[in-house]
Amino acid sequence: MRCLLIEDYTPLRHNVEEYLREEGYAVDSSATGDEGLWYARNHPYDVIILDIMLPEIDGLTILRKLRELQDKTAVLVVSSRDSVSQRIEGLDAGADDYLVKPFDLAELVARIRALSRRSYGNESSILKIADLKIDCVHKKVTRGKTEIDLTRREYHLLEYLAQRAGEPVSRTDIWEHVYEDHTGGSSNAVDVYIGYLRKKLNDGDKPDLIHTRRGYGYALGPPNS
Amino acid sequence: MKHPSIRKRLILGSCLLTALVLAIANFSVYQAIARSLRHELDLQLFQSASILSKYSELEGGKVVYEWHEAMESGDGPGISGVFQFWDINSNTTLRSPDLKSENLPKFHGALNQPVIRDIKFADGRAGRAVGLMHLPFLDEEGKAEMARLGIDRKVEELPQILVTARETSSLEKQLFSIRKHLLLATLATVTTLWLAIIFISKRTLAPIGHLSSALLKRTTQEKNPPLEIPVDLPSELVPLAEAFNTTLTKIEAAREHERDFALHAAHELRTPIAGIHSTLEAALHRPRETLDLRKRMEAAMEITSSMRVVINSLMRMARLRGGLERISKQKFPPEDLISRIIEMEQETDQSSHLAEIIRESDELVPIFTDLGLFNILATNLIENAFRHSPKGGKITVKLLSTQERFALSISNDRGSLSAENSNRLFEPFQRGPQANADSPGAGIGLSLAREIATMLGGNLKVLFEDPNAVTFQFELPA
Repeated sequence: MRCLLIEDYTPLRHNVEEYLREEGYAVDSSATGDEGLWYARNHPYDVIILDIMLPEIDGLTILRKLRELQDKTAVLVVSSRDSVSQRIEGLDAGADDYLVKPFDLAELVARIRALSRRSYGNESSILKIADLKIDCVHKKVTRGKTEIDLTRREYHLLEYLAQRAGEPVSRTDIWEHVYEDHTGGSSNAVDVYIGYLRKKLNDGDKPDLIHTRRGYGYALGPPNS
Repeated sequence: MKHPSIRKRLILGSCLLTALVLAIANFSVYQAIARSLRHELDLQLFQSASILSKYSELEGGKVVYEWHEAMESGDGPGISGVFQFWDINSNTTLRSPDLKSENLPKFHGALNQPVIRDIKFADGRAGRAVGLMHLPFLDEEGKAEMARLGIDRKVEELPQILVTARETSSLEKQLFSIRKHLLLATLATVTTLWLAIIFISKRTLAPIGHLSSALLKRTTQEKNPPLEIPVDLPSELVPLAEAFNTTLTKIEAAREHERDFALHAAHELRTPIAGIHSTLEAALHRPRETLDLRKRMEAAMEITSSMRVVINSLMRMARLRGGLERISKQKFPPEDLISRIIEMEQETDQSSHLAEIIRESDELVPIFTDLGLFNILATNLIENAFRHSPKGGKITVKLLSTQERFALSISNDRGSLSAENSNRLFEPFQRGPQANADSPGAGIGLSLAREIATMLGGNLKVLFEDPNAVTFQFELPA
């Protein structure tokens, strides 16, 4: 999952950025409103974490501009403005969630998880595809009764495909959402990680759940789908 | 406490006044009418008396009452009312038939001088009568007749008293009717006025009710727009409503400032707390090396140090505003203190600022004020100059201290500051357009400095006289 963090207070920005990375998220961050808006308009994100009181352009203006441009990216507002009317103002401006500072980073991650899940139309934090089960909270993957040990990157690749299960996902999309790079991606790297993932999921003889869409990318779904 | 009612005052005042005016007017009218009617009656009585006096004639040495003869022949005398003659000489009397055997009061004035008075008839009825002493009428023909008969009698020997009267009950009835009508007219007028005032005041005061409802609907939580003055509000009350609106706007502005202050205070406190919290949470998120943990703890410490400065400033400002700070004045040389502050700033200055002190008076007289508060004020102004001056920028501190006044001026490069936004510089948490959460300070320094300046009895202002520099000037009268 890829997040954009727009926060002008450096210690908080660094800590959130680091925490999200440690949780396996790809993170872009910005300390100013106009730079943050540029990032938001030029890159696809699963969730935008947005502060309100920012220099140059404030968070609510960014939010309203994004919604005017029909950008439906989930936005989580983090602000020191804690009154009910201020929360309402933020939500009415188009925020999907509102978190008051100071907040627990664990709660922030849980909310990001919920927002990204909802943005892909998934209600549960446990994703099931055939006999594959992915617990997004505990980052645990099982196939049948066997628990599969994945690296952080493999897990996030699988979770991203699972969030969009049944839908062909381009290599560029995979690159953009799973890796912290906007260079356009390396199809080889994606293919290599897909290869690793397939091997671990299939465990030798199990039917393949990752289906190749030639010239485009991959789709996760039941065998023969 | 019972408040006076406009409606009741209007009703009571107007009705009483109108009733009084109408009573006086009606009384005057009534008096004029009564006088006129009575005068007319009197005239009629005089006229009757005059006619009747002509009807007693001296014929052949005797007094003959022609009216009596006329009555006996069937013709009336054509006189309204009753009358009675007395022949003083013969002590006889003659009454008009309506009197039957009753006598009228006998009275008269001097000869041929009618006298009029109110009387009572024998049956108790009220009346008005004219009493006249007159001499019988004697014309040339009568004189000739008496001469022919050889009678030598003069009219002066036969004086007659005539009293003619008319009852006044019909006149009194008429006057009573007039009184009744005038009273009814007064009552009707006062009642109509009373109803009109109730109706008009109800209609006129109704917009005040609407205005009150609109006021009661205003909340203390939300921003309230200016009050809409009802179009049907009486024009006399519009200035009051407008004055009220102006007051509400001022209150709203004060509340806006309060909200703004609370918002900024929350931001200035919550953001570093979030920084500390996230630093510690990130530190505990996974096992880390001791050195890494130490760095994180140092980062948290740094944030707490910044927070301490903000909290101290806020507490100091709260004490100043709440009148809890006490002034303890003493004499001290200002230059030494200012020099020390500049040296301290230069020790931590990483932007190579140039600072100089210029004496504006030959001798700098020690000032007499609170040393501690002056120190905070001067430190804030100098710190502010160092903080907002570009790298290598020049900071000029001018000192003037005479027996008459003290002035401290601190100038530095103005950057993006302009005279237009100067009024907001002294508001708490205003840190200039380029500032962000990382910018040093919380924007309380200038606000605190102004509070102190006012408390010390001085004045702190910002000047933009130099096109490239901004100057903060603190003046203190000696």
